[in-house]
Amino acid sequence: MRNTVFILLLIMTLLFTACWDALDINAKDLTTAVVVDKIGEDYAFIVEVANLAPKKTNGEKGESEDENYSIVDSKGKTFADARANLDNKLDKPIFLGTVRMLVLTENMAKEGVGEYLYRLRNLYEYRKALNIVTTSSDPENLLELQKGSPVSAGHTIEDILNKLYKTGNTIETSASDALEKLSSEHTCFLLPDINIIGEAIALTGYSVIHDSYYIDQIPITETKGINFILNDKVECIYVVPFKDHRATVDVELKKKKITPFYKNKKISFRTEFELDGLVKYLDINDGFDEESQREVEKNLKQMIEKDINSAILKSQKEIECDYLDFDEVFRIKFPNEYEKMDWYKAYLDSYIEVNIELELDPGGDYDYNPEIKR
Amino acid sequence: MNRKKYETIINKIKSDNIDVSCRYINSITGQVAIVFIKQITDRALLSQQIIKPLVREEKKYNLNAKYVMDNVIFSGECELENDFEKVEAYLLEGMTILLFSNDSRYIVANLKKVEQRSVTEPDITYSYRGPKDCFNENLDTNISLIRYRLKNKNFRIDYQEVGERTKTRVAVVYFEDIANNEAVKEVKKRIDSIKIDGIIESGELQAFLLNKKYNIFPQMGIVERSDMACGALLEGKVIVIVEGSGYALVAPKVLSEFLWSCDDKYANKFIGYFARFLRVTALMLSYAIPSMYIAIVSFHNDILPSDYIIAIAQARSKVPFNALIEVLIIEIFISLLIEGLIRVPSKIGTAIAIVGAIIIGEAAIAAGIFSPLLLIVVSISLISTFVPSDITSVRPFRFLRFGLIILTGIFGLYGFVLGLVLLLSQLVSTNSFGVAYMTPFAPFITKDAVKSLFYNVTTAPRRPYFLKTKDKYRGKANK
Repeated sequence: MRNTVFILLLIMTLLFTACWDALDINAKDLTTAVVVDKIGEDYAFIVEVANLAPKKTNGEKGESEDENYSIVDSKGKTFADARANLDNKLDKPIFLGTVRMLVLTENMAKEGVGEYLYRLRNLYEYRKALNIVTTSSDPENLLELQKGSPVSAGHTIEDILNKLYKTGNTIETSASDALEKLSSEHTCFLLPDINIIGEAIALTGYSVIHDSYYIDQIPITETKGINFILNDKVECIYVVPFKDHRATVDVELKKKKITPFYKNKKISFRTEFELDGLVKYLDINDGFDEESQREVEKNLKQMIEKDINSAILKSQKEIECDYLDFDEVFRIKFPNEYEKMDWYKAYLDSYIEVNIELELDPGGDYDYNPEIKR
Repeated sequence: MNRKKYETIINKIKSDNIDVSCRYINSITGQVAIVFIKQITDRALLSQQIIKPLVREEKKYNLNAKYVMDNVIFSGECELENDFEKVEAYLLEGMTILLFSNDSRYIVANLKKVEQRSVTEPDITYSYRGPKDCFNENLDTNISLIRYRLKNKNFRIDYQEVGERTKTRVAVVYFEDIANNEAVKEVKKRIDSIKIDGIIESGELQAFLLNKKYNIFPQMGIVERSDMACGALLEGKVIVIVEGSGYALVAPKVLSEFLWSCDDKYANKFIGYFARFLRVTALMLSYAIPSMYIAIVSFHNDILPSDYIIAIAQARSKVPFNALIEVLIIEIFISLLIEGLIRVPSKIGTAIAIVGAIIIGEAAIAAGIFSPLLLIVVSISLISTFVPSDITSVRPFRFLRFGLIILTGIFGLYGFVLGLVLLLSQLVSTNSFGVAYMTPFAPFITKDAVKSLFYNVTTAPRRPYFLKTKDKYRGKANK
């Protein structure tokens, strides 16, 4: 009897839980990048699909070259229509587990990123660690830049972001990060903005998403302060003026601490940044004396402080949105107070103090400016 | 015995047609018949030690059995016997019989000689450091190889006979003061209970000694090298040596011991630990890696990073079969190749290997029948098969691998896990002469588990707990 029950259980388990949807990996269209666009009233998908047996095409110089990736687009009145039209164009079932980058066009982001991200949450094939970026460039041109290259546009964008993220020079927002932000009451976050610069793909700044809608753009030149606040590790370069000369300094964020205060219904933060600086290059042959070093240190400190203050000011006064994640530290320390307040307004009125501690290493093995050598 | 009975016995022996030879020597009081089977008798010794002295003495004295044995013949191993029913049995064993017309007793002399191979290097258990002498088909030679290494009075050899027709001698060898009594009794009991007309090789005996007839895992190890046999005896194991077989059996033996090699003991211990880790890994790879390939390629593509997924898909883009069929075809092909290589002479084997390698390696990939990645996977699996030192332990895994491949091919990762569960349940329900097969991991014995991975004679003064040996320590100093 026991054996019969065991065998019945086994058969039922096999019948009801087994994976009957076996399909070999090469029988699927492996997608490496997905662009979601809004063109007029229509939604559009542009996908980059790996050619498993690369096609031969004529390159710019008339030479035969391998086309490793194909670009397929589709439109529809709704996401479902656009997806159905996309499926009609693809010869195999689409596989989204290989998508390296989800690109939302500026038009789409303005329309709202929420709807598509909620769809993405239910598409189990998508990796939730998938990075999301925005673009204001033409999406097809963006993907076609890599045509003929062995590396897909999706991989290229991911590689650019990963490389910069390792040194803290960009932020990364994954699908799960974005979904977490969207699930909270106060939604404001940044997405890296990728565009075509010259004939290459490049990071051009951050897009600000507020309540799931794109509201503003922060150019790359204004992102240093944001990176210091949002990243735990930052390595960047400052060119510091002193006595009519310039010193090129490698700056590294060693430690960061943000402490929230709540007194008399007033919110304030004390931010402390501990940084190391290493003087790499000078534009003079000699004369980098102690006085000059002190001046470089003072000026560098002011420059970093200015960058951070500008980032905070832009967030509080210009864009009026807490994309710098001050709400997280405040909510952890004052959860009850946070629940009762309107964080949007409270954040805009909060006082944020910036303290910089910099230790400058004057270096010694300088590579002098070639102009001076001449 | 009167002359008539003497002649009746001789006539009976001759009429039974067992190919005996007789030499008669007449004395003043009667006749002596020397009866032997010439193919298994050392005739030079027979002439030297028995016929020559008898001929010299024939005219002088009254030749009776007692007198001849004590004063005439030079044979080192002989005895008096009076049961004439046993004469034929002695002859078939290779003994030389001396019958006397005037005596009711006879002499049984051991002048047995069987042609045998010399002691050669091992065939299946190679070692780069250990001794090279290994067993051959002669039981006495095999025992001598053990005995000269173990000079201890507690070393025991119990002989048993198996086979109604073959009367094969089986020696059960152990240390009386180390080996577990229960294990020794069990081995002897099982040998006693064998009812068969004959066994030729130790593998046949092993089949009779199994706990469960339908269990695929070896519950006894095979020992080819005498140093390994001695090592096992010192550990508290029982060795069974079968006449006519170059491979002795060792019991009890658990799965983890199949992954040990004598080089682990002889070489640097850290290198030994690493080698053991490699063998465990190899066992798992040989069993699971082709099935993992199917699970990833056909069912769970997103287990891998996307770069790998695209690379695998590109490698498989021309393959006309699904992953299950592809793996089954190549596994069967490789099994054919191995089976062919084992059974053919080495010169032809090289040719088969080259043809196989070219067909699989070059033509099949060029034709797009197999993906290069699968060939890598199957090659890793095949190489892993040969890493564990005892080949008998790996063959069941290699066989069961087909089941796992089919289960995974039908049910994906679920089938893979199901296959692993079935394998583990089979392993934990197996035992080798009273010792659980997965010991020391199931049941878990901490000290033995650590030793099974990090064993070295310098770091383990105690014998394994799970063997329940009488003497638990390796030497008095360790107590």
